[in-house]
Amino acid sequence: MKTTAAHLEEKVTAGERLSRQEALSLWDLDLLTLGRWADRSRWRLHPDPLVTYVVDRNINYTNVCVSGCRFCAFFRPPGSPEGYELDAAALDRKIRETRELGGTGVLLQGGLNPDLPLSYYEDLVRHIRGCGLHVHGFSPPEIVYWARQSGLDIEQVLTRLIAAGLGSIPGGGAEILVDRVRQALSPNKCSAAEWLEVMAAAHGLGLKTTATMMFGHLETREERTEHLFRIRDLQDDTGGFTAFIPWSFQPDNTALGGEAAGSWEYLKTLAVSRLVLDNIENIQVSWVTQGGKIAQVALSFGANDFGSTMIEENVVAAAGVSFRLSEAEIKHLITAAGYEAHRRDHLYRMAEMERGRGVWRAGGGPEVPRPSPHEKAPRLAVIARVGAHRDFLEKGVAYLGGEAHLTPFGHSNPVHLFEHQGLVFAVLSRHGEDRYAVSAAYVNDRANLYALKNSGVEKILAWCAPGAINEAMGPGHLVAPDDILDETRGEPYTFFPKKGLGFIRQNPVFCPELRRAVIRGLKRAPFPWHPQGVYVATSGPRLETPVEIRKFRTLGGDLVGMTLAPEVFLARELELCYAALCYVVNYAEGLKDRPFQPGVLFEGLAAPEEVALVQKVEGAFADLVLGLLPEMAAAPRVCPCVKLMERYRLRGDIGQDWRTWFK
Amino acid sequence: MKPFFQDLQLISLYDKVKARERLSGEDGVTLYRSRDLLGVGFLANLVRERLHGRRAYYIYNQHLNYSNVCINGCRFCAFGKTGGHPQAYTMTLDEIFARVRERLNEPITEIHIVGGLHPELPFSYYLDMLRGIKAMRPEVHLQAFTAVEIAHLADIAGLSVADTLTALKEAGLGSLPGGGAEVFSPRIRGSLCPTKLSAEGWLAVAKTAHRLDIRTNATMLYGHQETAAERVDHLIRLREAQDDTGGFLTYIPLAFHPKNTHLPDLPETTGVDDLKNLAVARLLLDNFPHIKAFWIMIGVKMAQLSLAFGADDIDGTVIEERITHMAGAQTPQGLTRAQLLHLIREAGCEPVERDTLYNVIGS
Repeated sequence: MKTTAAHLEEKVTAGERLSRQEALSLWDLDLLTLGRWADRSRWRLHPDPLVTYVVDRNINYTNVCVSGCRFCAFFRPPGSPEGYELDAAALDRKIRETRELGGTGVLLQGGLNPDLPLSYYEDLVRHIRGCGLHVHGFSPPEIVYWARQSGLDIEQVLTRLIAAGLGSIPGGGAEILVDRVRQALSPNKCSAAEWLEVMAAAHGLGLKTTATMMFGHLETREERTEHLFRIRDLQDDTGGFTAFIPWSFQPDNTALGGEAAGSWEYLKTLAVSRLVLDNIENIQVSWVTQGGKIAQVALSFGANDFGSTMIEENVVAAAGVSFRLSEAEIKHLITAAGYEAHRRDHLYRMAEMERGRGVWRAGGGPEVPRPSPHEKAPRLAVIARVGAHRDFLEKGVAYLGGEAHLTPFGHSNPVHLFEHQGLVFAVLSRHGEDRYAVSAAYVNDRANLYALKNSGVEKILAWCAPGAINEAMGPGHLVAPDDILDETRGEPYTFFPKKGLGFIRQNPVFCPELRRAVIRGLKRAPFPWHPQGVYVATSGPRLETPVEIRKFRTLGGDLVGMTLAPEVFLARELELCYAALCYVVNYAEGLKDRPFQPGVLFEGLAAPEEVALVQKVEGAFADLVLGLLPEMAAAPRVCPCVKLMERYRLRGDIGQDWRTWFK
Repeated sequence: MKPFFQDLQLISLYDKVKARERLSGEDGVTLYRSRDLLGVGFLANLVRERLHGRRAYYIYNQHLNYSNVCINGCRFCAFGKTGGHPQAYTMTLDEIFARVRERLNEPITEIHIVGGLHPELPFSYYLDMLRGIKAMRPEVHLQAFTAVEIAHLADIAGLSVADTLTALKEAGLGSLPGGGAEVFSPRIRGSLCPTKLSAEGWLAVAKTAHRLDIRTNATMLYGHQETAAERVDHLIRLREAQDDTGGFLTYIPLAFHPKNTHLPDLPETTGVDDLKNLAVARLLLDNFPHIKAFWIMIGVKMAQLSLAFGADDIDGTVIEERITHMAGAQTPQGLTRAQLLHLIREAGCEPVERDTLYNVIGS
């Protein structure tokens, strides 16, 4: 079929993924059409009128560089009298200024300096990180150069920098990720494949990075498009890019020279980037190269992020372009364009969300250790009882930090990140951090699940404590339920009220692969366990009447609790793998003759010897989970869970990016 | 199928624009307030393309600012100085002629002459200026003296506005630039330029010129203290005057530059506002042939972009512009023809060199 503007518009309107050929034909469209399409994508991805920016500073630690790129006016070759390496006093002055201006981090970049060993960079990162600033540092060419210099491989270099406190990597040095162009522009710089390899390795180690593109020199539009697809493909694999930042080559004082691309070409490229990179959340304007006016206008052409305050900028300035914006000016430009300006951190989290970190410090619990500097994305999560994260803290599991997320469904409970044997996992307490503060029916399941998914979680283990309807499942037993009877009422059951979405088949209701993994792990557990069971979900908080239990038993129920529904159904709407592990805490009403006892849990429904058994399981919670993690991680995502919303995607009801589904 | 608009209010305006219906003042306010910048641009571009296709006009001109001495003292102005001020200057006629002479080898088609309201220069200075330049470059069009200057010259000469204009026309005046209109709102004029010619006076000079077959331009200085309603009112008054006479050629929104003015704490105009002012003007001023984005005021990058937002003219290869640069404009002082053509072509437009009256040069 011939690619026409109408066909493209249909796809863009439906939020569908563009092919290479379709992307290429975008360039022939007029600026306003492209801009209006990109603007629609922007609103689909970011339904709120927010534009983010970060307060940080650029630090260019050296301008000595062996690369000699023809588009660069900043570098000096080794031995040049104009070469510099920042000394400690200058560095500390810059750090102090950054902190005084309320900066949360630094963008650290320099040339490929042959005189500096890897330990120099480790010390540099450790020092800045030690001053409490996030280090958004280096770029793939620097990492590749140091790997060659030190004889280490890329992952080893990254691991050492991460250990020193590197927090994220800016996406510089990408220029155009096509080797023909790189050969002509910067033959001494890392290849396109190497650039992507560094980013893939960084993402694999849990580091977030950005990606950039410098256009408007020797590249063709085909090559510009190819660049976008290489980024999009890697993002499909890793999900590690936070933002994409295109900018135009600034020719003054460079060996290459020539005319700079105009604002027209810049905005066109920005819009095409937004349309092609459907899997990258943020598109950032380049006010440094375009100036405040065009940067502001760019917010209508697909961009949703204003970049950073920079404080100083040396690289573009060396090419004769020196735009400068203070935080106040950035905020003015954003608000004058009709958006709310929000500060973010280097991982594109808004300041309000960071304030949510205070939540887990509240209360009289133990002192929570400082999060370690590196930020990693969890693939696994455990949703469990009150203060579940403390069990892991007490076991000494490496703690990476925790925060409540602000979601379209309100604040989530805090999501705590831990790392165990290389596996990063999230822990979320449904009912509160310090005490049973939220009863089951009022847990904000949607915010919690959104927050987990937004953190990168793919698989969830739900830990819960039902009563037994089936007498074979005694208190202290573990059960991996395989079906659910939903007797809840009134909770928000769906992410898509009044939207006609969510007709999801529920057989099997729990992820079969994840359940298999849990069962494999249970075989090593020192408790009686059952590989099957029908879980009856009620709303509570009251307990069940005797006849309700008889009814549930008649219907085939084995366990009764207030936890798994609608949580499991909501998780499935987000295409998350979800399995439950229940530990039985009592016999349900009417199974045993238990007199009423005032003032104790369940008013005497559980006998003291049963309570003791249950406490043994509770005490083993952290060990059980740690034992299950490798099995969970190994579970292949070949289950139906990942395609539960596919029909709506195909139909164009929802886009590729799940965050856009709720608008 | 109707085009998509983020701002649903623009849909009914689209219907009006399509039907070539005149937009109301209320529509103008809706356009100014809309967050859908590209929707507004899309509407303006419909009109622009209907009138001019993808043509983008430019002119090869020379600017002369003969004196910055001015009795008005407008608070938004960084150019005007009182007579005794160390930065005050007034060119002698010889100096002016020298400026013209040094560029005689260039294919200049227009000399654009604007200055302050000088309290002492005699009327003959202005007449001699025009005659002298015409003697050197008879083919050149002289676009000289804003309506505010004309009213001042009439006072100095003791003549009516019509007689003043007639005398100047006989001396070589071709047309009037559009400056001095500022914002017509009496609230704004009372606050920012209380001694300046009134809105009624400005419009009267323009209409008088039109009746004498002298074409004029019109402007609005935006981005200081004016409201959207005041901007719209300004445009509607220009539209009504144009309905009367048809003598306006071009409307040029002028971005306020705060540096070195009495309003230094105001922010610069933003890109969105610059584009809105062009687009809304294109939509409201349905009887104005041309909308110009003056690149000196808003920068080269914005001027290029303006070609998608209703503007069909980006002025010209201006050398030595002083008024805006005194107010801290960061734009370069001159733009070569090659740079200009590159800008226009990158924007997918066809560059058309024009003279003052929009006759195409070299075709």
